[in-house]
Amino acid sequence: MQLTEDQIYALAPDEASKIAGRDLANPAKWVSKGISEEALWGECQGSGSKPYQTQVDLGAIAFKCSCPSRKFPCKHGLGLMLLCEREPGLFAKSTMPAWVSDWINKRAEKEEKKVEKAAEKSVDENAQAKRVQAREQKVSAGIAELMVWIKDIVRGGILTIPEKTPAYWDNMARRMVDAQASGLAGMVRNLGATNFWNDGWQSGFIDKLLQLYLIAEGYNNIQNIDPDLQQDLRTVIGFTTNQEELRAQTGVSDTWLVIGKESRDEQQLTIEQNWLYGLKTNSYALVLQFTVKGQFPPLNFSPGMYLDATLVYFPSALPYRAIVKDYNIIRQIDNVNIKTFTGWQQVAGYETILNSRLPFRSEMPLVIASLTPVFYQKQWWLQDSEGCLCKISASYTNIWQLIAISGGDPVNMAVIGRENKYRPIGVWHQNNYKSI
Amino acid sequence: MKAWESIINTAMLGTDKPTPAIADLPEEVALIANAIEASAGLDKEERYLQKAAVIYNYRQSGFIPFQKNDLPANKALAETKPYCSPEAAGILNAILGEENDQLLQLWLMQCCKSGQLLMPDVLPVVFEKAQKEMVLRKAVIECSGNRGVWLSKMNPAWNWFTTIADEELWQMGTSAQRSEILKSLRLNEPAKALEWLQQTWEQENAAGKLELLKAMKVNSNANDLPWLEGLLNEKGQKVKDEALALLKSISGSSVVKQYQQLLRESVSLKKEKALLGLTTKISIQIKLPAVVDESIYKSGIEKLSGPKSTVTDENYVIYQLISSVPPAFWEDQFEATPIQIVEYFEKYAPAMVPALANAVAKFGQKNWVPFFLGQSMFYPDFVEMLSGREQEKYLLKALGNDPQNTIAQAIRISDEWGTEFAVSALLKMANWPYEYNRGFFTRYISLIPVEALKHVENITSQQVNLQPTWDKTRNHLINLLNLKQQTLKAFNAKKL
Repeated sequence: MQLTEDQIYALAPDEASKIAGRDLANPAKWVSKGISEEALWGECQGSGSKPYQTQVDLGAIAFKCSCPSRKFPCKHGLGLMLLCEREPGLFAKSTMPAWVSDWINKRAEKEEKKVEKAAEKSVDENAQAKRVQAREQKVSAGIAELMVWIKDIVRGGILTIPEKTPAYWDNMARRMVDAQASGLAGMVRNLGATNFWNDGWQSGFIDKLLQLYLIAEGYNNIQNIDPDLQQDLRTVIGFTTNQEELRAQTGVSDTWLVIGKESRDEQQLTIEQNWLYGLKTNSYALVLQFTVKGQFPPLNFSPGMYLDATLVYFPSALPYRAIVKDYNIIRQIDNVNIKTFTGWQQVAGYETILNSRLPFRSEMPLVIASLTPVFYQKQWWLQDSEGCLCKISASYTNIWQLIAISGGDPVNMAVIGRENKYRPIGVWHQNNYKSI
Repeated sequence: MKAWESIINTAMLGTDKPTPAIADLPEEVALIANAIEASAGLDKEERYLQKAAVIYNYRQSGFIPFQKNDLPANKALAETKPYCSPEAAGILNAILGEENDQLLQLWLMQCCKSGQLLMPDVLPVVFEKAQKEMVLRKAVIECSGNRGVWLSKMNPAWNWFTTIADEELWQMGTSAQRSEILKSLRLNEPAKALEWLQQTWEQENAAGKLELLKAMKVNSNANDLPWLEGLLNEKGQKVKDEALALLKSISGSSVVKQYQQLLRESVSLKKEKALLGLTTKISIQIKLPAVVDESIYKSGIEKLSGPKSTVTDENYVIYQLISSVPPAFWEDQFEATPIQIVEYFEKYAPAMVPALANAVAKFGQKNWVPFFLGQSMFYPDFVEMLSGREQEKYLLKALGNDPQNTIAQAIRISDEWGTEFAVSALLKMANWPYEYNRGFFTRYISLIPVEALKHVENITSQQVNLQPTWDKTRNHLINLLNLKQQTLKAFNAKKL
């Protein structure tokens, strides 16, 4: 089993599934069980007359179960993996039974077909060009309105902005949706979601407003800028990139460590962010998954997981968002040699380079060596070995766990943030990466 | 950064107000700002936005981390004990996920016994548990090592880590803390506890007096008598009642002596020769004297048995009196041994046997208990007075007649049940799965031995319609027992 117990729990869709899965990590529940290089399987006696057939594709950590649960993975899949992790001796290496090999083979066939289908797909280029042109016109018209709206805000001053009703933000967000600029719609909503009760909200608000302005103004001048930056503008506005075309590219092969994972719900969508760090290439990547509620995400990553994978970055002046072309989950690597940042001074220099390449970039993860959580001036900071300090975000909730792990000693840490405010997402503790 | 502050100030009031003066801008930004100002065709809003965007980027790119090299070092001391194994840590995580404080306590106790420590990452979660459950605190402190002590100092909510001397806590603590201190002192040094209470008694308010008197129940003894007798003149009725209740539990108190005196006059063993002196006819004579001191009835003895009672008022008074005097009283009264006394009551005054049993329990006369065990009646109070196999046998015997009451009594004992009783009780519980549900087993898992695990799988409900409910409860029980077993195994506890 390549995954630790924590990583298996991280796959659970909710707390109830974790508890139910834990109850099933009991040999007495399983009528039969087995493992091979490719798969893990077992038959669990449920309330029905026939036992449920549960199977896990170990290469991609995909699940299938004959139970009627709508949750994914179901409690049986979690229970089987937990049992295998806790008591591997109970799982004899054997040939896959037909019901398992059929599924594994079908999965492989499906992948092949997908590739073939993508290769075969013919595109009516003229029609596509017309569609693109029509959309660009819509976006341009939307952006023109957005510019007027932004100017109105700065003309009138932001003093009375907290008094605006939700409709004020919603109307402009809807206008951006109509203009097929869903990215801008999200940014407008985010602007309206500023916490106006916080002291100093003005600075954060203007940051967001200026980002919106930079993107809008950048799009107005898109013909005059670098092609990669053009892509960034199009992506952030909401133009999609053909993932099949991306998949056809060579990509970056590396051993990747999943350094963080977070999910959030936006209307009917669940957006999952997976942050990966390439051990050999010393690069960072963000893999996003969008799933409609009730659907299963294609990738099941959990923090601390190591993958041998090829990632293809979206075209960008600052390659960061990526898709996973192919991957194989591997066992935990001991004594990982990570090229960390040595301190905040180096981070500041690096961020300056990032900002110069992409002025409206989002927060990115960084692995920094020897950070110590310290309490100073009534708040928590992360201090590097040179004595430099950056604040820990006030919204960070696991501060006590971080302090307990550190014990006042410096620890290597993965953080997300910018300028002087960061949020820890994981630490190396006793040679293991632990999500916090 | 001054330029950024200026941007915010303008933003607050609108672009009709002056934007940052070029002279106030850093040199690099001033060049661009000049170019923006010189651009034709830009309105003032656009000029502001462009300059603001440049300054925004300048601010981000020019960030200089704040340096502070003289912060005092604050590090946890190195541990002298080893951390628990990864297996034990995994089980602890499962227990925490199960939110079972009983199993958490077991895990912590085993960790303490084996001289190991909690892994640092779980300390905050365990501290939060102990914050709510005081019973966990001692073990948590012991298992947390130096890291725990260090960590606790940073969060005022965890100040229970700092042990305050008992005497200081007695002087300065909250009423609950003082009551706990008094109870714990009564266990080992009852005289000292009495002395402490006497010293502060006059300063206590009525509610405090009542709580502290309740704590004096622990190890109450004849040395307390002079002081307790004095409390009968207290102003507060509740305090007086509590003092009287305490006095009634101590042999030799004036109230107990008063009861004994009345019993001496009311209950006697009569031996008469019969069949021409060949045999002796024995009987117990019960008759209250014509005049009974009314103060008896003011001390808590009820005069009337109640309209629906089948017992006469006289017998009811005698029953209460027998319940309220130490059983040793009868050794003098009947000039007999304890075993003979129990036999006499069984034969000649069977209605009074439960009263005698009550007295045995009330005055903690463990040596009398065996003489009642053969009786068909179940005395719940005797369960805790027995130990080991004797206790299990007594519970098993009662279980057949009255399962629910027996189980209700068995859950009050602090030691783990014997396997035979546990399995027998589970067989009964399977028929009441709504009463003995997940919550019940979560609360009382500490009582069920892991040896019962191999039997639990085969325990079914006798009622088919209840089987699915019992199945769910049983699965939960199996899971808890597995965690219990794994905990013991992880620490190589002797039991396995």
